[in-house]
Amino acid sequence: MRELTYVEALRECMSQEMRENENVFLMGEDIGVYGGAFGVTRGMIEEFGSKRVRNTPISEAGITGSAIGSALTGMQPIVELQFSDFITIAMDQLANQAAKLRYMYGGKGNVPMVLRTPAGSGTGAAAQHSQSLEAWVAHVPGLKVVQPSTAYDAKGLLKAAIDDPNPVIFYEHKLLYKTSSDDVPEESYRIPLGQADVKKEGTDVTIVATSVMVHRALDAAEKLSEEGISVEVIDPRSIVPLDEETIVQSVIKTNRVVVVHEAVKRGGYGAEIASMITESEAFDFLDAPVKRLGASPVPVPYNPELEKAMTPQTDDLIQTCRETLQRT
Amino acid sequence: MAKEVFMPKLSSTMETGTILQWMKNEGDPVEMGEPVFEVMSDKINIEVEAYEEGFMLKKYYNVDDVVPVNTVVGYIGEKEENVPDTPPESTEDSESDAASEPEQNEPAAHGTESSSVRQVERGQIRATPAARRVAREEEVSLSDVTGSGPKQRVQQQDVRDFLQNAPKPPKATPLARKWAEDQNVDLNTVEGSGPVNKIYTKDLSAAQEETVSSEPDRIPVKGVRKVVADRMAESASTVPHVTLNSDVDMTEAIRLRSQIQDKVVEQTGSKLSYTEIIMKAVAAALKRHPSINASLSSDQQEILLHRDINIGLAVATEQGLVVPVVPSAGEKGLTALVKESKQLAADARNQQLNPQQMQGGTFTISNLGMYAVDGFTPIINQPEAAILGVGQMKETPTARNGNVELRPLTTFSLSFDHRIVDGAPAAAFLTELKQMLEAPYELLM
Amino acid sequence: MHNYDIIIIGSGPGGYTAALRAANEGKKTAVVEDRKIGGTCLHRGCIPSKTMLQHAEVLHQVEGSAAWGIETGDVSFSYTAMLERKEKVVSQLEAGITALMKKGKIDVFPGRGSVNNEKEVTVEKEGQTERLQAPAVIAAAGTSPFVPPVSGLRETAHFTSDTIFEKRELPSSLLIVGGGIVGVEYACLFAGLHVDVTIVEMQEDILTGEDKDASALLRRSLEKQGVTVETGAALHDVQTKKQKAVTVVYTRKDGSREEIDVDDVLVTAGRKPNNAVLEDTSVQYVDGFVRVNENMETSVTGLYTIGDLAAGGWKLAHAASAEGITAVEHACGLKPSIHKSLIPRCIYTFPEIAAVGMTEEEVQQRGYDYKTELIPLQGNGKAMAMEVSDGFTKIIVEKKHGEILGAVLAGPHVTEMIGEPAAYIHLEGTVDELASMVHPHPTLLESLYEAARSWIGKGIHH
Repeated sequence: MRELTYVEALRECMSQEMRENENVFLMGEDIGVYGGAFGVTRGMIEEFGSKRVRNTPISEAGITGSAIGSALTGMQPIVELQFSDFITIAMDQLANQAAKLRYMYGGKGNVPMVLRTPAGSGTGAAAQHSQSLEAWVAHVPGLKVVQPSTAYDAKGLLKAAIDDPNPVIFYEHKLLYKTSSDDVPEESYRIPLGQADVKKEGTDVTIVATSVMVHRALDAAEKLSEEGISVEVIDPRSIVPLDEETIVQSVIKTNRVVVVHEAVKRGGYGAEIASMITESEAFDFLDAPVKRLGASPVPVPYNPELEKAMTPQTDDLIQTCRETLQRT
Repeated sequence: MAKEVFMPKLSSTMETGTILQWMKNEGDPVEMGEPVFEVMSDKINIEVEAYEEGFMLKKYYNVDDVVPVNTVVGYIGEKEENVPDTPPESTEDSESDAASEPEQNEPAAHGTESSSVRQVERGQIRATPAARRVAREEEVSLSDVTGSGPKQRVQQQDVRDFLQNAPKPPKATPLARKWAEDQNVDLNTVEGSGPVNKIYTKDLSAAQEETVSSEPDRIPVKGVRKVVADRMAESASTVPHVTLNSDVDMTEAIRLRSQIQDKVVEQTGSKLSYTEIIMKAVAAALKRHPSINASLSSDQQEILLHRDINIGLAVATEQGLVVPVVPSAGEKGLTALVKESKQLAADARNQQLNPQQMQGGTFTISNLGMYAVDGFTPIINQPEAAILGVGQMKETPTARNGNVELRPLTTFSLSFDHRIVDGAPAAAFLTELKQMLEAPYELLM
Repeated sequence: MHNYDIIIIGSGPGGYTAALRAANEGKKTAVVEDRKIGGTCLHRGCIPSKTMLQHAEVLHQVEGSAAWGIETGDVSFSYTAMLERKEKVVSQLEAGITALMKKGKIDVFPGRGSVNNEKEVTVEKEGQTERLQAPAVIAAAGTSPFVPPVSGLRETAHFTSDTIFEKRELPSSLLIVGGGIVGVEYACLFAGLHVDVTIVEMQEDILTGEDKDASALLRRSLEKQGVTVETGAALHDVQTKKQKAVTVVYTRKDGSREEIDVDDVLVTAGRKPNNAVLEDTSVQYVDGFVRVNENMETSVTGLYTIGDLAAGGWKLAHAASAEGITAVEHACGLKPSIHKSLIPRCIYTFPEIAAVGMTEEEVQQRGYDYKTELIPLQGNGKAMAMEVSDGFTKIIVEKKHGEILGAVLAGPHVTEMIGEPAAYIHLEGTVDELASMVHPHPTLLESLYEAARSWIGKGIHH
């Protein structure tokens, strides 16, 4: 199979959709000739022209609002926000408009838009350009929230997000843009939202990891296997809707679970997953407290060492798995 | 709610601590992490920090008081809170040696530990949901299961282990039970013929008939058994054995052992046993009595006085007696002896000894002290000149300075080959050995 | 030649049970029967006698009801109607067994069967012969009434348990030769129908082999019902003197000679094995019955004998059934699923007698250290309500472990109640468990509990 980077996979998905479906178009800041803040749309304006790859003024609320309006008319806009931190500016449009319209108009209008935006730290972009705020949008009924961790998942999930009649917040990760998968098919395909992926099977402890943490979990699993600890790594891929069954079944099998995300642990989505597990059938199979790993409750520091220290790293995962297995 | 301040347990052997000074007086405000008092254990002095903030409400002990570990020495809480006038009873017996490292947050740890003990007393058991589920399904009472998790939390595996190990009471009819009790038949050994293998009385009589057979079991003499048989027969029939007995007062050896035990465990991971102390003493005594560290040449024309002191240890294994050798025991410290002899004994029991590990011995120790054996006449491990038999340690009324005292005595039995050594030098060696063990600090020099 | 997996000769409670069990195991099964399906038990034994005894019991109750203030006016009794009801019950049961055989795809060969050492079965019917063969053959041909060689008896018209139903009218007097189980049951039946009954028994007692307390109680009860019971008596001569009447001469135990005239004679002096079925085989015999091992197999491998024909064991329908199951399971290579050595014994007299386990005599012979406890029915609330006083509960218990060796019950419905002590013995429960089990009140069975409590020295009422 073909090797493709995360960026290329996203671009290929959008291009294929735009060739097939004239309702699909892009909006965003500097997404035209510049190709977007991380080069995701590079070259697309040359193929699709400035009407379908539309550069916009710097106004996240404005872009999002126009996307919602066009979606209501039957278009399928894909909005790119340069940094997911700025979603806060578009929050009224998302929470009060995009999420509610279909419901409030009794299904007479849909908002089939996708809002793509990069999240996460690790690039030295500091406090205002490094956050993981997915829990904010996940809390609002009416929004779907996707967090692909690989190029393969990115392409298939983006296709599903574009096809979805509801507004979908599509979180990309800055550190993942350059990673690649060697199994990305050329043709278009769809990974249904709400279908978790078991990235690695194991028997002793389950790690539920999102986005970049999937890779740290896999690293931890490999190191722990040298100690005879068999880790199962589950990537929910979308947190709304959440594939509860796969997680619950895994915990029933392993009896132990560590939930990890890059977002701040306090109030993070990991709390939701952890609670879901203890409320589920898996409760009676838990042989250790459900563990959460997330960032420290501080603004993301500019200092690269501190930036690392505040977010869960592979070693933190290894240590937490050992603790939950009482192998310290 | 006022929180107790505990006398911390700073090491596994610490039983009491002496209060050196109080940093806070009653009524003083206390910040979390501030030192409250200084304590001296047998090893170190340490400042005990507060793990609560509030006010020092009560101090029960004065400077220089010796206080048992885990005793409440005071209270920190809100002003005007009521606390007992006298220290509450210690909730935890200091026996529980839950290996605690000397840590500064010991008081906090013990605070929660004692509250966990109270929980259990209230009938609550700490167990994971999975352990509870398995216990429920298998009808196990969690209070019967020892928890391996943090704070004795019962894990799923603990319940499974318990089930695995718990003897399953065999199903038997009431009459069969009465019969079995009467005839001293272990129902676990009887195969039941009834539904779900229920044991009926006829099964008991069948089982009894089986065991009644008067035919002895026959075991071929081969392997280790054969070697032991041949060597013992040869030694006993050719070597003129003389056995000397001497009672050794082990009081000081016990003290030495308990004092350095922790260090030895820390360094080797194994416990120091009397065998190694005796081995150390034997090696030192042999150094001063080279005529005992000897053997007869194969042509019996010469006596060989060995420069190396290689001590053999008689180890009982399932296959029979084997004698692995600790080479150059005279040059080794106690920790090295512990490491080596533990390893050899384990290898011997696992049948992993190679022949080299059983060769070159110049003297053998056979320790039966773990049995109810006072003294015995060991047979010499040829071609060595002597062997030391060690019996059990026993509290024995002993005359000391005109009084009768109970002292821990062990009988040492030295068998020697009279062809090689005479009675007097052998007796001198045994006497020296006795003196060394009665004043073992000399060994450390 | 028809080939089968299992062939069973005889379709009584032993034979038909064996056949159904074999069919249940998927075996190709054949049954050979020269009379009606169901055998002695259904047609000439248990079922007809119990049906008729029910008539006697109801009649007795109706006649006694006036004392309780229940007036019925004149009571009439029809002997013919009784026989008709008996026929109805029997034919219903027979139809049931036939249906079960059909369902089990069991082939029924009518005719007289016999077997040889090669396990070839010959079926003869009206000159026709059929041959069957199977690796396993079970001979369940049962027994026939035995008529002892008493002067004049075989020549004189008499009835046996096989022919008594042919009698279409009630005699006014009846001599019963033999005071065994069959004899005393018919004595009760006919005495209940106001026939003047005399039992002549050679042995010292009626019901020899059964518990002494039980036989003594029954004897008193028979005599109370007007039955003359002559035990230790020798029958000398039976002659037809006048039209229909028979003169019988016997000597009493004390040597005195008695001559009586009776309408009819019923011979219940034991049964003889129907050995003809095995004439061509080399099976071995013990006292005229076929020697079998614990699996009911004869000395010929694959040839089994069950029920009355087999030596040892109780000659009872349920014993035959248990043996039939054992034989089939052994022939199928299965572990026996039935514990056939514990057979409850039921005698349907007034009062009924039921027993299980060893009799006290047997316990003595075997040298057990034992103690009995006997609780009479007098004082039992339910018995009083029923106005019954004849009866008791007796347990025979080994002293050391409290093993229940035997139990004997006498009184109404005890044949239904014997299951409880039987279950205790079967499951090896001891007197302690019996004494610790709560029993319902008011019941006749409370007396069993009382006996156990009393045995362990913690009696409530005794």
